Amino acid sequence: MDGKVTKDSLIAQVKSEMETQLMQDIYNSITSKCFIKCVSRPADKLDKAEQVCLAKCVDRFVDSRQVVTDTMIDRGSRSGDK
Amino acid sequence: MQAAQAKQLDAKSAKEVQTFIEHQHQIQQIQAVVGKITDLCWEKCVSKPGASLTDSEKNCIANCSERFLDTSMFVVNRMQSKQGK
Repeated sequence: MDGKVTKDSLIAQVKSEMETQLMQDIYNSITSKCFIKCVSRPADKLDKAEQVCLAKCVDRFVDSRQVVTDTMIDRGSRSGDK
Repeated sequence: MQAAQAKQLDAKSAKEVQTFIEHQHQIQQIQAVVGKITDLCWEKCVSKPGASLTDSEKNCIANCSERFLDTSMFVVNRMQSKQGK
């Protein structure tokens, strides 16, 4: 590769940066939400119960985001048929 | 950043990249709304995360999402009607 910028490489770069930003935003949301739900009395380490709660919380938050996405897609396709 | 690199492209490719970036911005905005709705509806609908989302939780999140979007439109319409007076 001679380092020349191509359309495809620029597009790939934009996609990659956006993906990273999206993951960062989701990560921040989940961390805050699940800390609130699972760590009610911060002690000197995360105990087993807290870790189990956090694992479920992360997975369920991701599931919840999927429900929201699916709902918006359904709504979008409904209004498109009008 | 991409603008400076885009100068290296021919005009046609630069235009294609620009269109692509505009499209990606739209996607980004949608993702931001999805994120906001997920944060809000999580609070309202999921009190104790379990082994999977229950049907009740799923329905709550779906309704919550729809009602949030209805609310958003309601607010826009009402504020526009106030300005029209």
